[in-house]
Amino acid sequence: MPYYKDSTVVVFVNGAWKKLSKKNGSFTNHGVNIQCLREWKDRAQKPFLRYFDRLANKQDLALVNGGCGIFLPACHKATAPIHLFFYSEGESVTYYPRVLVIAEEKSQVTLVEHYVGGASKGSVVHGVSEIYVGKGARVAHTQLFYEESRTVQSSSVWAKQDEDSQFTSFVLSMGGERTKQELTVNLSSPGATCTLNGLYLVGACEEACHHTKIEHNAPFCESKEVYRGVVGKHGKANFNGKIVVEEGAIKSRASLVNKNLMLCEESEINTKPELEIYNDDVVCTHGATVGQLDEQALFYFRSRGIEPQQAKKLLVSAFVNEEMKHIPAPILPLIEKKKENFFEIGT
Amino acid sequence: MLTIQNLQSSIQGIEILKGIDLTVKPGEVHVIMGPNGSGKSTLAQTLAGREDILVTNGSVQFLGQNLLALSPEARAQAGLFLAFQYPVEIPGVSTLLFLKTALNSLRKARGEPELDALEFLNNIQEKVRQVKMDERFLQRSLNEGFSGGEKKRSEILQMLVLDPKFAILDETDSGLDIDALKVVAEGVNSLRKPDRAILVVTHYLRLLEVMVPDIVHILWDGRIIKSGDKTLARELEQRGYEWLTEKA
Repeated sequence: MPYYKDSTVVVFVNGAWKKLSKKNGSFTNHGVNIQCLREWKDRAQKPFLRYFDRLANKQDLALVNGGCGIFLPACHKATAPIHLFFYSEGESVTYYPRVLVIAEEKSQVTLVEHYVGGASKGSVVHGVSEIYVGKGARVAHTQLFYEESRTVQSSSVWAKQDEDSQFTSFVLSMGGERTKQELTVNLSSPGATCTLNGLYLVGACEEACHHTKIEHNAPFCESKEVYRGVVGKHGKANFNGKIVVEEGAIKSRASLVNKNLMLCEESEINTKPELEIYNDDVVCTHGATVGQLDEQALFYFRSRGIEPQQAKKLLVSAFVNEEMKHIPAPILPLIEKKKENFFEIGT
Repeated sequence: MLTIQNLQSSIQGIEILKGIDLTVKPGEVHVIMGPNGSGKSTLAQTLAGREDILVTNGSVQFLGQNLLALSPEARAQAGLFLAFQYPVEIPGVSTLLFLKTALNSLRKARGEPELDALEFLNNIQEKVRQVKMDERFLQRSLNEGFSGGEKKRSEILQMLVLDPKFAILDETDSGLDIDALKVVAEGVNSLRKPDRAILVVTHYLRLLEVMVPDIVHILWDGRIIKSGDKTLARELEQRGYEWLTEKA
């Protein structure tokens, strides 16, 4: 696969670093410095020291056992994506990987965190990611969860943005007995913008939680957020999206949308978009929808000879495709197949 | 081809069709006219199998099958086609994908091999030209943001692609400009074949001038109160529906 050839791939098995390149612990690829977390903790490597333990809360960091630090020097534009795989294998596995990303002024990087199953029942995975987006820097962050069922996986992502920086986030969750992502973005300096997208496909008896919080702490910042979800039989989805516009954050622009599709009466969806505004002179919108497949659309398809099962698949697919376009193109084929399976079972 | 006997149906407990009798033979073009609320669209949708319409009485035979016992998709697979008065907008499904899926569903039901993307594209190009549509249309989401005329053209395109044995056009000529009307009329005309029948629901004479019907029926309060040849339509245009109801 050319994508993986070009990208910097780092693999963790049950939290332990299994790097693909020569030297263990630390390496530089395409100008990006990547270090094993244990290493830098021991030796307190310079570029990371200043950022250590600043963003994530203490509970999140208490159990961390492995992970990596990624450092982009100022003005460095990483041409190749960095792909981190977190595999889990065996029974009753528990691990807490951690990722620390420092993108200095005007640097640019695409980062994919990929949680893949293999472990069987009773496994717990909890990731913590801290991302510093320097002045004028751009970071595209993607988290993919598709552990096998009966795994509990969660992740906390913290991003802090400097002046005129851009942060985009996409999260996909499908599979896994329980999946939870908490995403906190702090727009700390003027002109920072963030775009958060999410897609959750919740199969039978699964549960997905997405909690997001965007803090507008400075004037002239903009945030856009769209999360979409499809919930199958006896599946459950929770969405909680909060936008806080602090005092003094004038000219803030924020929009938040959450759209949900229930595939049957037994699905459960809880959605709560929230705005907290301590300031005048801002434009903020929020909304949430929960619906079922449109009967009229279904009839239209059927009246053309299309079997109901296939019609449903097409309609769900259409609903989902809006978000699919935020998935980095090279990994799309991987997800397409999974998505097909979901439709076969879910609908 | 199609025999309707004493067809009665209701929507949400309200009786709409109160006993329709209608026989359509292969090769014929029938027109149904009638004031708003007389049940024209309900008749069209009852035949297509809309699920919230409850058939309370009567029978419909279509090519030797009991039409009312079939699911909507089975009716389409048997050769029935309804051009919708208000085509549904489907964001995220391209017109091309929709047409291909529909055609392949019909082919599968007939035991024919499904067409791949290339074969299908060859099959469809000429038809797209026939309805004077830009090929870029095919990439757009089905009916989403289409103008009124474009939606109706898209219905005619679907009809040409699916090649039905019996086509029902539910006010396909409403709200069209003169050019679009011509496209629709020509599309319908090109479908006229000895083994195919067409049922047109309309308010206007304009379509009938291009596409000469064999029989015109007047629907009033859920019943066909008068049938005649094309001159009946002209008479209606001049005198309105009043004179008929007074007699009835």
